Amino acid sequence: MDRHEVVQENTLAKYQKNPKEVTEYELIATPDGLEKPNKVSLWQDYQYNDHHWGMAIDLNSCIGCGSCVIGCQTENNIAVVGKQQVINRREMHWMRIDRYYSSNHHEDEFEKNGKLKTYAEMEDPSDNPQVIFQPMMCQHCNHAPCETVCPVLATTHSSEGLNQMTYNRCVGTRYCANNCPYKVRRFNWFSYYSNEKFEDVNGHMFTDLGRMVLNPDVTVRARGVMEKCSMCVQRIQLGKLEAKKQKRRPKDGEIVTACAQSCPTEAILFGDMRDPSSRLSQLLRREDGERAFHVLDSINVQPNITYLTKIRNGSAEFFPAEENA
Amino acid sequence: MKYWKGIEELDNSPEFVKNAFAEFPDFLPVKEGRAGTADDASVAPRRDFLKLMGFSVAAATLAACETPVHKAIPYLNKPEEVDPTISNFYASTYFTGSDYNAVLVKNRDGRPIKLEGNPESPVTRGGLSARAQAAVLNLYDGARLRQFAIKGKPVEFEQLDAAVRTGLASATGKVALVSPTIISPSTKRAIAALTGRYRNVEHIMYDVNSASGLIQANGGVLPAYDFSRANVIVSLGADFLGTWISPVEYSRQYVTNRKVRADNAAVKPTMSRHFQFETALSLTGSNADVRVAVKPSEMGAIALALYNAVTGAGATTGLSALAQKQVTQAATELRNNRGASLVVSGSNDPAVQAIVAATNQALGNVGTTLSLSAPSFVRQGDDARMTQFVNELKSGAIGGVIFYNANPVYDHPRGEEIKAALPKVALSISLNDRLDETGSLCQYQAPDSHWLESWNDYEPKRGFMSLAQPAITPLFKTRQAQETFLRWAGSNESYYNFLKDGWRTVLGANGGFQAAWDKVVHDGVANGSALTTTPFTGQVISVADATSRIGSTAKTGIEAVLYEKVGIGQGGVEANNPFLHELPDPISKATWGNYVAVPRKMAEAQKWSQGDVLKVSANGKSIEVPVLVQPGQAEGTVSIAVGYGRTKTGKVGDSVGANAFVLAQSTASGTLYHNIVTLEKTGATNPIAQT
Repeated sequence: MDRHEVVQENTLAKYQKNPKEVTEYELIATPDGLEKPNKVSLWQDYQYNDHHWGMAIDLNSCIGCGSCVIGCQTENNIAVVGKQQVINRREMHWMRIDRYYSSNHHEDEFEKNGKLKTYAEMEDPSDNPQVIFQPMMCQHCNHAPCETVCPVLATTHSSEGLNQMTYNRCVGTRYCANNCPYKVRRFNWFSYYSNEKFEDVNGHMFTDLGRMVLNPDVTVRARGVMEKCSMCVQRIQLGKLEAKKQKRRPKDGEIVTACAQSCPTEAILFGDMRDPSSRLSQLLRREDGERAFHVLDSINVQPNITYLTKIRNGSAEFFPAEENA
Repeated sequence: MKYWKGIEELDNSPEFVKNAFAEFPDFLPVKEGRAGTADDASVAPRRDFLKLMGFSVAAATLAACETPVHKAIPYLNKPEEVDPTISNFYASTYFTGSDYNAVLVKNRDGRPIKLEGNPESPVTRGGLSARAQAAVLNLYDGARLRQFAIKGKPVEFEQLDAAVRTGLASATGKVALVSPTIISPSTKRAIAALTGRYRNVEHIMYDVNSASGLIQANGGVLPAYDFSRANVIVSLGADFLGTWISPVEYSRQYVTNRKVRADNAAVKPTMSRHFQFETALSLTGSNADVRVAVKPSEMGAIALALYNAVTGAGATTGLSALAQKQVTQAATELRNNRGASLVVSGSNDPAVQAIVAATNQALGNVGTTLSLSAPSFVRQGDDARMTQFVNELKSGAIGGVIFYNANPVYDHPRGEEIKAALPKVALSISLNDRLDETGSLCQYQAPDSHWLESWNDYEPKRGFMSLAQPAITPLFKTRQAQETFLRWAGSNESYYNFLKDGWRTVLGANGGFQAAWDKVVHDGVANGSALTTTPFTGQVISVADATSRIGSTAKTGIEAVLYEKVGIGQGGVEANNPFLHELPDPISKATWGNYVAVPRKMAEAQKWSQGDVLKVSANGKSIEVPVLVQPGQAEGTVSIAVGYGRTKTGKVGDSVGANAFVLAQSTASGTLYHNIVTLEKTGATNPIAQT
């Protein structure tokens, strides 16, 4: 029942006492004792000579408003699928915000009441739970499980760390989605831009008037292909091109993804991890071993997206979960 | 040489040509239902399938050869700054009566394709709400009106102008111009030109998400808040991160006090502490450090208890032990942070707001975390005046109405009464962008252009101004409302010149005006002020008076709160925007439609399960919505989102969900968004699409 590998939070009191103790890092057993998962690998690492794009998402700043979801949708021409397809779990959003409920009133009950009873009680949700939000999109893993299973090399790793989709190679086996630990890949079940069943909900892709809103830099994906977050590769390419025209390197902060641009609280920071002076590199150095963590670190897929542990300023002493139940 | 794949193609029969354009043969259904539920009739035999697929492939191949030729015409004189395939950004402003956002419009080959936050703005500082992000799609909404019309017959601008001028001049009785809050100084001047010419025209502003109680309690102004300076925040049902007054601005302020870093050993990381007392689990409540679920009827007592605990004016009884404990804790922390704390309330009851205002006063927060001298302008609606209008409309005292982006038939609690009275009014004009619930009942249609097609200016807070400029020429034969007002007032000036003249006083009339103006157009934002607050005529409610009024509000029965969703909001132009319908609610993750959120205990006691349709009744009206079991919902309460159940907004939004505005209470002191309801199972089910 633990979600510690997925989403992490701690209290301000603990953070003030020792910032190195607020995040739990999974260690795995090796012949030389417990090690960080990335110390043991069958994979060869990529060499990034020019850029290594990445993002950091501060769970303390994310308020869950959904602005990034819509920003991503308008930037990337993401289809609207309608109620029935959402029920069929076929929504197309490249970026979603996962919301977890939690309550801390089972913390010490394992010892007191025994494991089975506590687990049974945990099934019963709290009446006034705590909530945590986690923006989730393609993690652009350096050891991406999706890349190795594609029989047609439709999903590959770029020389700048991006996990990229080549839509016209994709034959729709969906092995990649099956193998993705983060479940961020979306399959096109229908031609959302021409199938009349979607004319009511996705009508803007059907008329000349509505199609004016589409971003010409991003393909409208056809039926039968897989799609996912591209880390706004079109924006990265544009930024690089502008810099190249001026015979310089792209400046930090010049290139931003649509989600990072739209965030009202600056929870998402995009940057070049290859550039040691970028704000992202500085942040990752500063937070290393403190709040920085990767989701599902122990499976060692080495994502390029880093999350920062959420810190709460409510002490368990007067958090109302127990008494309200 | 000719290649062909089948006899049909070779013969090129009319039926073949017809089917060649269909992606799926329409007699080959794509199954929707879950496996095992489809009946045999819907399953095509395998042989048919292969036959049809062979046909489709041939057809698709042939169809591909017949793509019509589109001609691309190069510029004769290329505009200097426009290059094909290169995007330009223009500064503009989004404001739809709810949230204000300074935006940059990404313009590609003459088409606005995306909105981004304008980092130059000191108010929204580069942030942009989900609603504003999606607003670019509203520009291309096919349901917008495409020309002016009189009684459904298309007319030219001049014909309608002449008819309206005659109508206004000969109108007997009052003419009401009904609009949501207007924060544009120039629009207000254009309306003043109209009311100046026709003395019987009166401008009435009302807000769907009204703050008139808050305004009344603060002597006629809406306080400007600064959450970044508050170490302790206590919110009584105000969803200030999601939907309350100016969420994007508040989110940024709020988060500056929540970001932590530990790289400086000398400075301990600190955070603000946030207490939230609320009924439905809101976006703000889900971010709070301490959240207490309370009934809406308890909110007044909690405000009072907090005030008493802060001022030491004695204890209050009648609170649950838990609420009392949390109130005491909150009050202690508030007292320890005098001048650096903030109490806000989402209630529209002037009595509750008066207590909250007194609490902030007692804590010395006025002038630090909230400002009354440099107030916010984003809510100016007067509920009492709107109620009076509805009464006048019913009594026949109104000789004419002009609706400017207002749809009270849908979104006012007394909408049905307005609907019944409207056809009897001698002169009815709608400037709404579509034939909505209100506009379709009007004789004259003078659709306003979209804000991306218009010039305008805005002043969300005193001292902060911003500009909107057209990013595209009007797509349809519409005219922006301000220009329409000027024409009706008998002026032939363009609104652009009218607006620019107004800015001479803001920027100073001396020689440098053109350069200063160019900078404003470029930046989109400027410092300066042009709006004035309306002089307050009412009386500020004293604490003693408020206390006695709150004391008499104890209630029995199931209480319902009506709330706004982060996406759909008040169900205005957003209601026909598919992006916002499919944006999952931050808490329930539900898309496409509203529902009645009930606490788990109530659902178990009543044997309701998720998706059961309930009939929710109040005020003698009822709506039918499915049940959603919501953790965090206060005991004995339910909550329902407004903004759904439109009937005349367009293909996307029509009949999605049910209209919960009918359940609101329209009282003498204002609209209250909670009520006592009865719930009844109908036996039907309606699945909720959650992600």
